[in-house]
Amino acid sequence: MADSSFELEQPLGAKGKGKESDPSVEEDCPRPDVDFISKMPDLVLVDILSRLPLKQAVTTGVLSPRWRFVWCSLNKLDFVGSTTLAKMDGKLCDLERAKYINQVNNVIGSLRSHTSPMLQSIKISFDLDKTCFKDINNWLRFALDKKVEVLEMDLRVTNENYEFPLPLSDGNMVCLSERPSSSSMVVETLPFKKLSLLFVNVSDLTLKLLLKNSPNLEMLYIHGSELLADVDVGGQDINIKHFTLTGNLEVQSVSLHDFDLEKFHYIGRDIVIRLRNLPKIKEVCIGIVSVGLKNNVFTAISSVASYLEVLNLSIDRREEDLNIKAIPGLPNVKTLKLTIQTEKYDSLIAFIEIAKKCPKLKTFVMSLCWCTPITRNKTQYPAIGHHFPHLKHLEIGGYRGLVSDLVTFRLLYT
Amino acid sequence: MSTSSSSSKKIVLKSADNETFEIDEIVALESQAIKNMIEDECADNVIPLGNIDSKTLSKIIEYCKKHAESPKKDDNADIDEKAVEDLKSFDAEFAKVDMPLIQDILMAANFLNIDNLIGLMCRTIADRIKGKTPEEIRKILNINKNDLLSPEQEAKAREENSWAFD
Repeated sequence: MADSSFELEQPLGAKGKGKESDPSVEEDCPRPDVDFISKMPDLVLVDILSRLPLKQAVTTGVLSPRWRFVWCSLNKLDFVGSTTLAKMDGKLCDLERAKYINQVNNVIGSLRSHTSPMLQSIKISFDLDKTCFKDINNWLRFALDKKVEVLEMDLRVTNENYEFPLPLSDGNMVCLSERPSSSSMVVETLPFKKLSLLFVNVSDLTLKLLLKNSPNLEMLYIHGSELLADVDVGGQDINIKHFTLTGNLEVQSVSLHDFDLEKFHYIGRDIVIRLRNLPKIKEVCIGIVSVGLKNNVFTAISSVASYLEVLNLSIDRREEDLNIKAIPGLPNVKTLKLTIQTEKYDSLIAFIEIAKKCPKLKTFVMSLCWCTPITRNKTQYPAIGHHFPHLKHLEIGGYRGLVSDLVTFRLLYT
Repeated sequence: MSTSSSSSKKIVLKSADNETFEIDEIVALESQAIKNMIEDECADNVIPLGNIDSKTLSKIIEYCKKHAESPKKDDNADIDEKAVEDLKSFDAEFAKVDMPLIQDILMAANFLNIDNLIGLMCRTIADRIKGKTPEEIRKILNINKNDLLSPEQEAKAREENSWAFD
């Protein structure tokens, strides 16, 4: 609300006119029937409404004539459906879905018919699938028309995902999996700065064209797309700084190269990841769900290792997979987070080898996930101290006071 | 005022009921409006605030003092979590006042352009009307009874967005 133009000079400089002559009478006494809030500028009223659930904000339209259309100036629309349909039977599902769609359509209709300003963000969160594509396409159209900067679509787990269509400059929306692209196809420029697509299908080609036609896009998050297979993103026309891919089950490979990426997060199956020529990269998070720490994790990051400041790895317990020699030097890493699945006889010492590659380490977090009940073990661990000169914050989650934990602790603090 | 040193520059504010408040410049800078005045060198004399009474003004000064003393978040250094917590509980205590005073503070904060305080007051108002019916909200916000929608207008408004009134 940095609205510096707000009538500063008038009362501040020249003092209110009536008040000058008779300052003692007014202001000091309470005003039983003065409705101050309604005298506030729209910006402030909208600020209040933006902190209420959308449904309640809409009801303020009946408060008084002053409030009638204030809510239409909301610049964030969160359509977060409260119920989850997973536990409901089919008929009830359909009913709830129809209700949700009606609500979004209604709000969008109201905003369209009042000259509302541009919208900052829209969040759609409900169980919606391919069958609702007409409505969702309309919402997307609205988001494009309002030059929305932040669009979040979380369509939750459904039978068949809605596919993200590309808006063409002739006004049509096309799904590339149904209609292959042609060279004559001109994609509209997309306004988004942040785009989250959860349980929305995005194909390799859609992703490519989406990125190419989104000059402002800084953050992209894709989760649960069934169409992504080989992600290949690179080149100087790519502007995204944060790229997150999680739970995209069909992905075979990810190759990111030659642009100013700053953060990359990947959680999913063990696949081939290639990161090349990403000079601005500061943060990498790789979590491999089913397989574990293979040396190719280090191969993947080796060519960008020297830039990294934050490294977050979620890894399987199997120490034998950890080839210490494959760990690249991590000269700038200040924050290292390791999530490790642990079993009873495991020692964590091997994982400290990763920390040893980080001479500037400041924060070291190990989260231990225990897979089996604990039994005592008598293995002796060699306690060889290592000096971490910058280490300020050490956190071990899931600590159980086992010998292995103690040894690890001693090792870090010698 | 243990933190203010005698050498720091002072700013004098005068409320609508002619009470004057001398505060450190650093405290006054929390107000973007006063900051602009200082930068334009028109804050050398007493700054008259003809639409803010002394009760409201002293609350606002209390707020600005606390926030001026606290380390700013955008400092590059490690954020002192304790200071952040401390400020949060100060804000929570600060907002425990009745609605007329909240409205006065909001008016004044908007006039003086104190971003955080506007946000705090808006949040407080939102918290107090959350989950309430329009009728209850009218009471809480003291909306003038002579200035309501006509029954026909209200029915139309409810009809237009009927889903929200279930």
